[in-house]
Amino acid sequence: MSEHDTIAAIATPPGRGAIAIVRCSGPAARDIAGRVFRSRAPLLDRVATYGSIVDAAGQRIDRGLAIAMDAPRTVTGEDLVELHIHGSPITARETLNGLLAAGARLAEPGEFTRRGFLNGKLDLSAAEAVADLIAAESRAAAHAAAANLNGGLRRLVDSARDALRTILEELAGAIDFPDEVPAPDPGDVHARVATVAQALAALSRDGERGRLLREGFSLAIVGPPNAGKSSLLNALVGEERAIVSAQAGTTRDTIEESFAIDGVLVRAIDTAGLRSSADAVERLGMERARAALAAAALALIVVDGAAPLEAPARDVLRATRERARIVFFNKRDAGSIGYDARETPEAGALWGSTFDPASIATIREAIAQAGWRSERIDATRPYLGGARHVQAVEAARRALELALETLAAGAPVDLIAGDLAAASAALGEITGGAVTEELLDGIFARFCIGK
Amino acid sequence: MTNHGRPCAAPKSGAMNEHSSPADDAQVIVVGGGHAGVEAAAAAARLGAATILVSGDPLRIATLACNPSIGGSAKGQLVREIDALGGVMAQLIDATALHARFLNESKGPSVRALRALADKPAYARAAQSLLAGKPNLRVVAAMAEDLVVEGGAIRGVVTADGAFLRARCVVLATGTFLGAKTFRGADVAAEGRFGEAPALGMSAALGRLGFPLARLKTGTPPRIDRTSVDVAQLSEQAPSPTPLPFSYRSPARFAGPQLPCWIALTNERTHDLVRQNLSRSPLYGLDLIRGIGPRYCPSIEDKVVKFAHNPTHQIFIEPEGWDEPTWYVGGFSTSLPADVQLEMLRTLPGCADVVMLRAGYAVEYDFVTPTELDPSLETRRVAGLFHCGQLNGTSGYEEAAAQGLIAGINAAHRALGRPALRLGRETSYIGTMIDDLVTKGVDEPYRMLTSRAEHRVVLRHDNADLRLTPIGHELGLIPDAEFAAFTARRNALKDAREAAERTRIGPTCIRTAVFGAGATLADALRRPELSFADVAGLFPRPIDPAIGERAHIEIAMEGYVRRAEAAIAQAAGDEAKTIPPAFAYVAIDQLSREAREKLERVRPRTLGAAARIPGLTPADIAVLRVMLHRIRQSIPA
Ligand SMILES: Cc1cc2nc3c(=O)[nH]c(=O)nc-3n(C[C@H](O)[C@H](O)[C@H](O)COP(=O)(O)OP(=O)(O)OC[C@H]3O[C@@H](n4cnc5c(N)ncnc54)[C@H](O)[C@@H]3O)c2cc1C
Ligand SMILES: Nc1nc2c(ncn2[C@@H]2O[C@H](COP(=O)(O)OP(=O)(O)OP(=O)(O)O)[C@@H](O)[C@H]2O)c(=O)[nH]1
Ligand SMILES: [Mg+2]
Repeated sequence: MSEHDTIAAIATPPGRGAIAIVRCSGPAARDIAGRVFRSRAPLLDRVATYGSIVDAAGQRIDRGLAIAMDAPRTVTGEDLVELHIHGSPITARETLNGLLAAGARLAEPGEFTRRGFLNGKLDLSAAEAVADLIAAESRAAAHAAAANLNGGLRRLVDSARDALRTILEELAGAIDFPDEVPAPDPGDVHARVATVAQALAALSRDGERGRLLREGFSLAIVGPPNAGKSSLLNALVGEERAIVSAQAGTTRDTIEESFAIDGVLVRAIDTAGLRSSADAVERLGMERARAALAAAALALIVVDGAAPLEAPARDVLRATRERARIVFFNKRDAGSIGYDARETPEAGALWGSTFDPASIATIREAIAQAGWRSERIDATRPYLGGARHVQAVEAARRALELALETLAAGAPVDLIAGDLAAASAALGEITGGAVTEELLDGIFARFCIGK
Repeated sequence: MTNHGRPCAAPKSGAMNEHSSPADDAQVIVVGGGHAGVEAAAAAARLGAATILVSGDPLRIATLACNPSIGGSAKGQLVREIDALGGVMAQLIDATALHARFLNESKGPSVRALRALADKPAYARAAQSLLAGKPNLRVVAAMAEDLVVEGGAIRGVVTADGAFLRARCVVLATGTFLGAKTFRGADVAAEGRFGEAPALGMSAALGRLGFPLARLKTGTPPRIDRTSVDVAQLSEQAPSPTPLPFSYRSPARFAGPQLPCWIALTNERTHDLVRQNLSRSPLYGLDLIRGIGPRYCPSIEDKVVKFAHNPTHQIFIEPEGWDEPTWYVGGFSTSLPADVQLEMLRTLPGCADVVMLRAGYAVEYDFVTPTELDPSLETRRVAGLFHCGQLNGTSGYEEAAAQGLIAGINAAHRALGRPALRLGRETSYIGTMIDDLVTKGVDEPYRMLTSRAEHRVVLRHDNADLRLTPIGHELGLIPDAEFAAFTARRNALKDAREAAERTRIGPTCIRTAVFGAGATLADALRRPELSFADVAGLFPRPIDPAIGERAHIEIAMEGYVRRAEAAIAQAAGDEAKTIPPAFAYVAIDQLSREAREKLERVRPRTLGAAARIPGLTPADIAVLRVMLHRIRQSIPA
């Protein structure tokens, strides 16, 4: 809660707009943003710079603009960097995660405004308004968090905390009452801490699943021009959303539309057909198509199955070989020209027609299968409810890793108590509860102590 | 005992400043000569304030009312800190210890702690003669029964014989004596502790001033005749073979011989007796006691009832002095009738014919809610009035002494027009305890525990002097000569650390540890399996083992200390944001009603302290931060 650290948050309202803005404010704003945003030109004060948003592995998440604003002439009165990216919640979330991983802290409710106020950026009379805002936002956040704390998650977090608290009780009991409470065995403690750390790591991974249910599943429809991509989008959505025409290069910009399968929101992006072209506008569209392809969880490759397989189709098929995809050979009604097997080594490729409801049903099935019906994603398992929760679980897991290192090095047991308490406190942010008091209650309930 | 100090510091000299008037009897009056009062009086006098210690019976000053033990986990750190700051408890116990042991040696340097048993009468005598020799200090034998307050400020105390002692600062250190009652079965007596009258008027006086009072309870076990026990049937606990003084200033050897202690186990017969007689217990069957007792110090009744599945409980039999006839029966605290106590004792191994010299009892007493206090231990209600020790809801000699020292310093400082001393949680167990008391209050007797000290990695037994001696010297409690010894120690420690980092030892093998070519002595000291003694010979110049051990701890703890310091630095901003004493929380609509009430009651001194008040949410603190900022901006600096 210090004002000397750097905070980050998604500034645009949740839901899908044309662009999303992710903000980062504080002394390290430029450094931290610099680890997420790559551009050829340096970031100048108050100048928009075009570049890529990359994840921790250096993989591009999106392209967009970065605007750095140096203190004190900013809304927060601190160094501020805004990243303007495409308006998909997933991209915005990944960008935010990148900033958090690079050292920013997730902003508290109303914290940007509060910092602005504290740095003299707002009128004094605004204090009331800021306080109102904080109170209201925290009430809303509390409701949201409570709604998010599905029974399964609560049980998981509680059982991790209980396990840590039991260890802490044993440690504290042995330290404060050495004549009465035996010291726990370090090997045993190591095994128990490791178990909790693994459970948290799994929970963290399952954060993905929570995100899927919250934010939907992204699907990029790509392929050469005129393959029937827009027709497929319309068929999946059930309305004429995208313009369809016999002319190649009809779709110039990405078009996003959602529909549901299994109750999961699928956010499908229709893209411009991919081919080599001299047309500048068309090339821009294709660049967007590639970005959408990179960001999507699943690619749906559409190829005209009634015509010989030409270079653009081959290129797309080759380029997407390594990623999660579904290949659909379209226009079967127009008669297959009978590709020879050598040319279409696409095992599991689907054949059909966007005009045929049975083909659409098959494709829906395939999306669910590839997307979430696998073992990895099971909507009935508990999941983490938001970035704050994910961050808390991650903080807890990191603290436990430190404790495990300490134990593995053979250092005395007291040195892990701080890390275990920190982990327990981080988890307490999800479910509530004060560490010290709970700990003492536990010690006195479990051990008969006192001379 | 009733000397008046040297002429230069006599109370009525011209040295008094605006905070006192020539008509005053003293600048500071300390009420109660327990462990809190002794430290308070000694510190105030040492700082140059003309001081009077008013205590019921001067021969009972510094009585160890319960067990003979000083120190132990977390409490031992308190004693070290008292010493480093210039208090007296450590030197008193060093001079009178008859059994000392280091605890938690294998559990980590941050929780290592010293515990010693005192020769109880010798301890009290040592304290009394120390006070008798103090310039500026006068001891008055009387019970203080009333407080005189004018215009919201203390003016003095009135004793039972009607005398009015005037001073601008009063430190209350009345221990378990306020409205106290003792219990042995159905026998209820008005006693502050065994054989001493309670203080009845003082509770009423505090109540009239508006202080909220509540009841707590504690108890003590029976004492037995040491000649009536067959120790062959008990397991012996030997004292440490090497002398282990608490004080940095004490000679490195104990004054008297070291004695063993014994451990006995209770059995089903003991427990049956407890169960059969619960109807005669003032706590259970008779239901006479309303005060809340300490969970970490349960009576044997509590143990048998609440831990019914434990087939046996440990009992620690400890001598109360070299020449004392009594042994203390630790872990056997009880308020059952005396006849039952004797029967129960006789079920213990080696105690078939034991003679009970004094029955155990419970005592119930008033305490004043410590959220009434500023961290300087001055009450917010009455200017110049300080509370310390058991009166604040704590229990234990060390807790009392630590608060007494702070209250004594601050009373003297107020009288002498100097700024208050407030120790933060990151400086000490003392600061941690006081912050807990004034921000959280107490609902059971408060004992210092390592788990309460989140910064304990830096609050160690070994480094108390580094943390506090510069402050003690600055205050004027640590004489120049002792400070010079401290700086020499600090330099030697720094040299030893540097030598360890510089000195290459590898490639080599020490015990089971293997080192590569670039390895240094410091690398060796970072290995948990090696001790300082294992590498002492490798230092380029011989190192005093005491310094070497400390260098070892610092090197081994370095990474953990760095992390702890980063956390402390993070919190420092809020700890520095003070809240005006009269801040109107009620007027902040954005705070929940509960938060407003809590803040009004506790009146935290800083934003950091506010955040520690149980039940306040991060949003409450954020709102408070904003509102405070508005105030700061609207009040011209
Ligand atoms: C029966 C009993 C059991 C205890 N058990 C435990 C235990 O299990 N664990 C533990 O940690 N601690 C225990 N203690 C507590 C320990 O003794 C105290 O915590 C510690 O001594 C408190 O120190 P103090 O300075 O606050 O007060 P005390 O040591 O109680 O000293 C108070 C002094 O003030 C004097 N005094 C009081 N009122 C007045 C007045 N109005 N005017 C003048 N003089 C006054 C008294 O004569 C006394 O000398 C027990 C105490 C008792 C009596
Ligand atoms: N026969 C047949 N024609 C189809 C089928 N699906 C789409 N078409 C036609 O193929 C043509 C191109 O369809 P679009 O959906 O615009 O193709 P696209 O891939 O979006 O094309 P671009 O946006 O230009 O890249 C249109 O004339 C469609 O009617 C199909 O299953 N069978
Ligand atoms: Mg199209």
